[in-house]
Amino acid sequence: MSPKQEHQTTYKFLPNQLAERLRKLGVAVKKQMDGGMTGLHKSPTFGSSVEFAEYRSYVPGDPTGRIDWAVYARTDRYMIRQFHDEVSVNSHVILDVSESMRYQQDGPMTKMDYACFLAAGFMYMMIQQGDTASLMTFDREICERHEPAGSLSGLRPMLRALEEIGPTEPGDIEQSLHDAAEIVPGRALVVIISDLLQEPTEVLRGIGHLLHDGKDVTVFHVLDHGEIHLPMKGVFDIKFLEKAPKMMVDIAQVRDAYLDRVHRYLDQLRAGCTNQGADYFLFDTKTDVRDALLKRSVKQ
Amino acid sequence: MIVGAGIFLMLLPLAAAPVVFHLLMRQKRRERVYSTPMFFHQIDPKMRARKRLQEILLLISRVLLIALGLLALSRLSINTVRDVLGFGERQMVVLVVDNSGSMNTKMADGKNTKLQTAKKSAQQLLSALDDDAKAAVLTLVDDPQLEISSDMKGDKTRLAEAIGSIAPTEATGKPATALQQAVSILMAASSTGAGSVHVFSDLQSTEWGQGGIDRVIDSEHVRIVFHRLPSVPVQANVSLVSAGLSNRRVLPKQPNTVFVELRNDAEDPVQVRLNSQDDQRKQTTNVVTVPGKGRVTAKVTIQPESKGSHWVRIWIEGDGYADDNQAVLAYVCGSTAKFFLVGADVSEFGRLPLALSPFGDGRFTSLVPEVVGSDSVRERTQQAQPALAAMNWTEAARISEGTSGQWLEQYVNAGGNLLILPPSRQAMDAVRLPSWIGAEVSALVDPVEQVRCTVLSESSDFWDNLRLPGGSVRLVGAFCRKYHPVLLPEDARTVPLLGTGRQEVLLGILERGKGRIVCSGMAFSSKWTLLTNMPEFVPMAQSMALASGSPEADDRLSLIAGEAPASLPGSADDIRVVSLVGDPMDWSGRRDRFPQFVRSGGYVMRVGEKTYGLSVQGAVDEGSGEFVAGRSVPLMGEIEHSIVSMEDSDELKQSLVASHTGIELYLPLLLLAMMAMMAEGVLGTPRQFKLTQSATQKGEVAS
Repeated sequence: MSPKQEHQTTYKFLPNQLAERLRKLGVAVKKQMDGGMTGLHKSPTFGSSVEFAEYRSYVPGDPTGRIDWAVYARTDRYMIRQFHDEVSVNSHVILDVSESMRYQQDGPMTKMDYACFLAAGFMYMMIQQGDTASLMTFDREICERHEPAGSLSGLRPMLRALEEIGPTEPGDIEQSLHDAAEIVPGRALVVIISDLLQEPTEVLRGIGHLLHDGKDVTVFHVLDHGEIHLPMKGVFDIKFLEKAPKMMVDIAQVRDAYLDRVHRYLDQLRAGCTNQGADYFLFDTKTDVRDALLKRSVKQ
Repeated sequence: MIVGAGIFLMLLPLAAAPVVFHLLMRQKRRERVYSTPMFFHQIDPKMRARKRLQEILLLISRVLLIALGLLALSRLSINTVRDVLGFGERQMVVLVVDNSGSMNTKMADGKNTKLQTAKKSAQQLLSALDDDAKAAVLTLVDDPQLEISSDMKGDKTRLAEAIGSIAPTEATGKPATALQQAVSILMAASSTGAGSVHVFSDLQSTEWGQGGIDRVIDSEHVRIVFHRLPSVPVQANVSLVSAGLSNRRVLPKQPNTVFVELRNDAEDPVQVRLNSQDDQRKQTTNVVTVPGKGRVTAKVTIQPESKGSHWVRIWIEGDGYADDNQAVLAYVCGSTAKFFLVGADVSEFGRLPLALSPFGDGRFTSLVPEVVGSDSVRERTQQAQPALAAMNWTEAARISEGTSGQWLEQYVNAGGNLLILPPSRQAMDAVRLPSWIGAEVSALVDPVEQVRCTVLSESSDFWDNLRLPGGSVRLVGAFCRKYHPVLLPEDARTVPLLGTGRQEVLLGILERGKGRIVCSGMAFSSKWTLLTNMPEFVPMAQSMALASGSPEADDRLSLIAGEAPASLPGSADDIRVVSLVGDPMDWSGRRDRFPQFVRSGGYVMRVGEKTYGLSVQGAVDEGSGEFVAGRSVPLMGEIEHSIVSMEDSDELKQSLVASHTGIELYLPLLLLAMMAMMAEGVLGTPRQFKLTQSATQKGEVAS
């Protein structure tokens, strides 16, 4: 393979070192998923896998091999053992590409880049364990939607798409999640990667919609370290990435109020997600991507 | 300011350091991109202006903190007292001490007089002046016994001694003159005349209460400060306004009367003791009641024993103010005086010569008779200046009708005593007196029974020598055997003395000019009247001879202390003044350098060959109890001046100490610096914006 070809096969958001470290990690789901293939995850239908579900009486037509003879010997009744069907999971990564994601203050990268690392890593983990993964981006609405892929070759276009993301529009998270809930079919794993810079009640309404449709929702809340801790000092004329009037701020004066506000905001989001049944993870961009993904993974 | 404190003033520019640091190191507002406004939402939009104001206030507080701290450490003080006292950078001070009579009264504490307090205060002020200061001392009354040079001097010791030598006077001060002289001294000492004049006075209204001085002081650089000495209100003051001898001729052994005029300034009558003491150590005391707001004339009798210069000191006791209670009367007593018996026959005058001169040589009465013919009477009169010229009506008519007819009238008008009486041996049915006399006599009345002589005008001073202690005239048992009724004109200058009780006048006085004419309707022999046999006739005869016409009256000069004589007697240029009583003095000099007398006393003044008695009396106005109140002196008019009230000398001493030290500003400045530090602390602490309850409910951040 020529160096040029090697270069072309290297992904910005899934470098080899990261892929190597994520290879042995897997992702579990809490809910029963709909899947077209036999996989690691429990299906809502009964099958013939090894995981016992319940007993039922034998009815004509049932395979005789599934009669539990030991039970017959004790009870003199023909009982059939039922097992859960194990299916593969369709995961959908919903990535926020609104303007605020371009922000970088105190972290090593922008929130957008960090989110892309997370998305790439998560999709890779899903595909590695035999599930499918797809990518959707949104700002005010769903911008781009990739078909689910179950192989690395299918993942490639999505990795390339991540590299080409350039946030330009302000976002509307609630609306985008409502749209995603309509788009994502059946029971699937939905991973929302966003800075969630919108009123928590609105965000939670969008998440609630997904959960209501039976999705297993995981929220990766990405914020810059500076957004959480406001380490700036001095007086600034602040211009906002998303449309808002300019503001002069003396950081020393507003710090406490700001931090209080941020903590309330984070608490509200965390509690809202937990209460609705979604997994919530807050990452600042200084957190290592693997460590971040590790929190949502299980070792295979 | 303490030593070394000045260095902190030099460091005062450091107060600008916060401004410099602010300009050099101020936080420039940076522009920053941020992800979302949601966490900054609803911060006060006026924050920019408030931030700016806060910065300015913080800067001011820091500048003030440093500046006030440095000023406090420099131990500054305000010297307002120094300004009040008119001390300039180069101290040129003229001290004017009021030594007028009113300054001799005691202060409220009763210990020192106002003059003593003024002197002490002036000395304290002098000692408080800077080392390079120059000063001069003046007095309100120019006391010739005071040796004070009016030049500016730097020798404080000598100036203090000069102040100490200022003695009380009884004169009224001349403030305008003193102030004008003070300004002249300052003008002579410097080109601008800058300096201060300090007047230590009780500001008595008689001296300071009238305007007009603004025309004589024209220097704008002179600061005039009055140190007012408070006065105790004068109660029931009786002033001895004047004391003067009567016109009676002053002769040895002849009693004379001093008329003392007393004035009561109080509303109620005041009873005082009138005392006298003369050079012969004779003392008298009388009680005199002076009506409220009125005057009374009291009499003091003197009787010189020998010829020469004499004095009598008269004073009153028992009123509220002492310095106008005294008068000294100096007079010159002649040796003997002649009385002329005009006519050839001495027996015409009956017992008159015996009554006037028992031995004919002047013993006992100092009167010597001389028989003068009507032809030579004019010449002798001019030579001998007789006490009395006695003649009968015939002689009087003859002299009046002669070639020198008007001489006799002129003699009387000039102060001569003339006695005219009927010829004792010649009965005259009808007599016509010279018309210039103004009196007439009727035909002889020769009653069968003698007629009792009655006193007609008891109050006349003619009877003073016959007056009993109760005031009545002692003349009992006087009868007249025959007489010519005297017809006197009815005017104020005519005094009927004796009458018959039938509206007939036997004896009367007619005042003409300065002299007197005693017109008698009876001759002074026992055939005419038994009066001549009575001892009372002797003093009556003395009064006839000496009642007026005293040539010594012109030999007496009276002055008010502090005032120059309107004119000096005589014509000689050289004058000598020797004191009899009062300030010791033996002055000789030219007429135009006549000294000023500032205290009461008696002096003998020799002008050429003639000797005069000089009496100096204290200024009566100094007893006035009115003093200038308020914050301005009327005399000063539009001239800027200030008044510092002074209860005692220690008060000025404290002011002078304060003029050096000033009011310490250390503590106030330190407190202000601490306040600036607290303000800096408040402003410098970042103000945190907190969530309000309502903002929390809305999910908004409020300031």
